[in-house]
Amino acid sequence: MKNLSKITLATLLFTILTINAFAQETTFDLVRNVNMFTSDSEVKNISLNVQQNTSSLFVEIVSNVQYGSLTIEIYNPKKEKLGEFTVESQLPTTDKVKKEYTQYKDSLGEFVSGQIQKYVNSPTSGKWIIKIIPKEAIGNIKISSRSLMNDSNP
Amino acid sequence: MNIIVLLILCGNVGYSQNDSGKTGKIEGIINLDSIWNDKIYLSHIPDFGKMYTMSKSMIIAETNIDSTGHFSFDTNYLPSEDNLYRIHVSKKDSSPASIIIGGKDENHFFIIANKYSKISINNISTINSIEINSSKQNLIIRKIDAITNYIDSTNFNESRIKSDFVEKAFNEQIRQIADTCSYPLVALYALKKSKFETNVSTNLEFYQNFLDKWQNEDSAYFKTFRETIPKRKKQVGSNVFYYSMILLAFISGLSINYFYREQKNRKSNLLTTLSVQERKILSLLQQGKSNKEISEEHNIGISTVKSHVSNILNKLEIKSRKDVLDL
Repeated sequence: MKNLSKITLATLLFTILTINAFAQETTFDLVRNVNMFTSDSEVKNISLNVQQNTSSLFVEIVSNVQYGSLTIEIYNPKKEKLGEFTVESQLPTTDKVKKEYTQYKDSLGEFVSGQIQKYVNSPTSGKWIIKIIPKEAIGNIKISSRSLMNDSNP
Repeated sequence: MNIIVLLILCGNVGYSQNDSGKTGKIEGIINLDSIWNDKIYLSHIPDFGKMYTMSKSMIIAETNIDSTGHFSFDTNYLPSEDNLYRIHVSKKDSSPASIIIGGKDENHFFIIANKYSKISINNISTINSIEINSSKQNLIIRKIDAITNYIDSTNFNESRIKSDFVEKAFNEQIRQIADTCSYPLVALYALKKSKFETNVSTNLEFYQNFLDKWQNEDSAYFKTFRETIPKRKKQVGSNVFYYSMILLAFISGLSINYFYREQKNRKSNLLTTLSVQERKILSLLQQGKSNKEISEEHNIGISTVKSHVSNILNKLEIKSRKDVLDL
């Protein structure tokens, strides 16, 4: 009888520990790079799918622009704008610049940079949109996101 | 903590925002760690839509941060009217024209200044949690920023329901600041920070009343803001009714006047149909005299008088002697 009790207790402890181990949160990282080499003016939407069991979301967008201008906007699934910034270069994007840029893109002059960080606890699930609005822009954008998901609460 | 900023005292002057005739200055002492450049930049923000726009063309001044952490911007060349400015620092691996929004590395803050402003920046622990002395307007700006920073931290630390609740409550608090603030540009800054764009449709009257309050403000900031708020609808229905009533009264007046004038003309035409004798008798009738008195005055018989009176009544188209008195 004593042995049966011990076995039952051990089984119970094992079960609880196993459940706890699986209930831990996991992170999901995503990095996207967008390069604009040819004076881009096309609006792009980058979507981040936030699952229902996401407990927190971190989004960081870093952009550098050498020519033209670039606006970045962040929208949640309710289409509410949560943040934005614009970076503008004073230099006009001429045909000569476009040509030179493709040849010497690493050695051209200074850039204008913008960075935004957003932390959201219990983010609204659904499609988060990062809207990229370039105007004759030459530069790059790096979008990093980290979702912390609770595995026990699918 | 990447940016450690020490206490700064900008002299012992009792500063005022419009200390006309004296030299203005924006200064402070900050100590930056090794990731930051030892330069600090002042940018002009021409409208509230450009608060988070970074461009080299917006940077109007840069100055070195010396070994003691001191920096200083002269304000002599600034416009005499209040304008919005942004002060920022940049990382060593980044462009001077860089903006970082959110997080511990946020690299900028906003101030309102003019050419006479003397602004001292005190007790900075991070670049976005500075304290400003000697400027009432900028003290309110800091208060507004503290509220929005609290909203952001709630988004990070609390559940969605609580953070939604906190955001609504605190945005309402910022709108209250905007409503009661006596500095127009600060009031507008408060509205911008309260995310007014999401509130206009449900609270339109508040924004229209706000613009009524500041109707004499013609700065570019207010002009841009006015364009985003739907104008009051003119009360077409009541105006039409008002003007219709005036027109009706005018036409009625004209008609009545015309009617009485016609009546008068008609009666004076009828009078011309009376004989000389009848006119004399009419005159006596209008004096209220009886047939007997008329008979005695004109030395004619009463039956003759009665005949004249009857003719007079017929010719003037009236029914009784009493009506003669109204002629």
